[in-house]
Amino acid sequence: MADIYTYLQPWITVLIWSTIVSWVYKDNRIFRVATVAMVAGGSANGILVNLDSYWNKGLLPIVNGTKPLMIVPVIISFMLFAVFFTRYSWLARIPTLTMMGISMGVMLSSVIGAQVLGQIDSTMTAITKGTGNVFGIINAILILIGVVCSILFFTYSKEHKGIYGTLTKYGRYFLLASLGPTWAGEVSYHMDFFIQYIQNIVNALRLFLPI
Amino acid sequence: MLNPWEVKGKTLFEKLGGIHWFWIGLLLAVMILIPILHPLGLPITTTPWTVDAYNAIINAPDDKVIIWEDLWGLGATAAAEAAHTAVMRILFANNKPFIMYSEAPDNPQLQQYITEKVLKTAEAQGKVYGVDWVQLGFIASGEAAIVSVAENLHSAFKTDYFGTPIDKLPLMAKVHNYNDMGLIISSFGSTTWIESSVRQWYIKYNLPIVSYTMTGGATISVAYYPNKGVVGIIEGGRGGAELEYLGKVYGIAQSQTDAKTLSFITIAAVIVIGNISYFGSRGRKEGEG
Repeated sequence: MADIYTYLQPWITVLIWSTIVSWVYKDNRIFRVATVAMVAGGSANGILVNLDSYWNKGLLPIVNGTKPLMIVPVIISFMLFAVFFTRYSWLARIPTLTMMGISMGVMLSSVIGAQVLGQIDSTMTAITKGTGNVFGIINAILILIGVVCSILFFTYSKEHKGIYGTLTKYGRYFLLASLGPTWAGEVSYHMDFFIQYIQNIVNALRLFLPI
Repeated sequence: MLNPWEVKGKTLFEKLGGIHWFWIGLLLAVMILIPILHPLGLPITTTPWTVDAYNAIINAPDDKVIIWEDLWGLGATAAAEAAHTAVMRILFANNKPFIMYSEAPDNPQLQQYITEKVLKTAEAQGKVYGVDWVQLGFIASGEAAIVSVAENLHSAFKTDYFGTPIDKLPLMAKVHNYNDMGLIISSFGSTTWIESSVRQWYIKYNLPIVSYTMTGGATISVAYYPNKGVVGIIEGGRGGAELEYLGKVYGIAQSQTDAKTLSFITIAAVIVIGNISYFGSRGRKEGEG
């Protein structure tokens, strides 16, 4: 025997989704309440999860003595609150720059290999390595032409006209062609929401109707 | 323009482009509703990158553990659920132990939500938490967190998502750092996160990555596929449907694929109609000019 929650839950789901979807008709109070509730819920959850993480990974090791040196990053992180005091607001730059430094350091140590050398290597050697058939070679040549033309499109020191202008024009076409699949992926992502919404309505109706 | 019956434009071409959005939305809803009520069983084709992703998962080294990083939240659940479920079921079916962690604060609850559903499937029967899989929960710092996890997993996480000390979980005794990891599954709602994964997991630690992307991230992932770090790509709900077919773990993605196919045909038709309207109207205006 199903409990009342089994019957209510699908309808609550549909109701909440519908408050968001109501914007499609026009901006309205229900939609605004729903968005504020969504942001508030997300923020509350984010704060709690981060506080929990801060306690477990930052404060607890100091309290139980396993990592006393964690006091250093904890003090640095607390400096962020200095932004609320005009006299000491400059202190907030220290944790900001520390985080930026760590992120940049972690990223820069491998960005050359991954996104510069690796990509150039793939582009240049694809023709020789190929895939063993003529289509693989044609594909590799197209990629090379596309890369060169697209890079030329981003040059600003020379006017885009004549043969050079033709190349940059093709570069623009290649860029637009690459944006197509990205946009299609975006549409697909949002269609998932719509399909899920319809699915939720059907699930809710199936509790009462033989469909 | 709130009145759905109102059609803008004077000529036929202009009127074609002035159809109220309500009718397009309604048409889409009907096209989605039909296969949900009566599945059509439209054929599903598999892409080479999903096949490669599937092969990478089932052929992951048995003596190593699969690490699964999740960077998506509540907003991406509709797109993520199908493939996430399929990947978990395939991992269970092939006895591949895995460790999940989250890089988004609201992701651990969603991992748990999907896990509860997966545990009811046939593939999950007999699987034991702590032995066959572990859910570690949230870790902050994005790309820097990858380094932390790769260098010393036991330092990055002291407890799992449920508060159990990780030293008490048998699976965690097998993995300490990147030397014990065989494959990375990187799932993300951001378009460009794969660049961070490649920079760290592949360039620094030489670990292969299965990119599981929710939005247009496949176009970025493909720059690193197949031999620059990314060994396979799972593209959102479509990738989920392909995985269900490849792994014979049929579920929600297969049932949603019919709806998606019909809705995309509708969208394509609307785009064609929009272009006919645009060029027809323009040609007429130029003619008048």
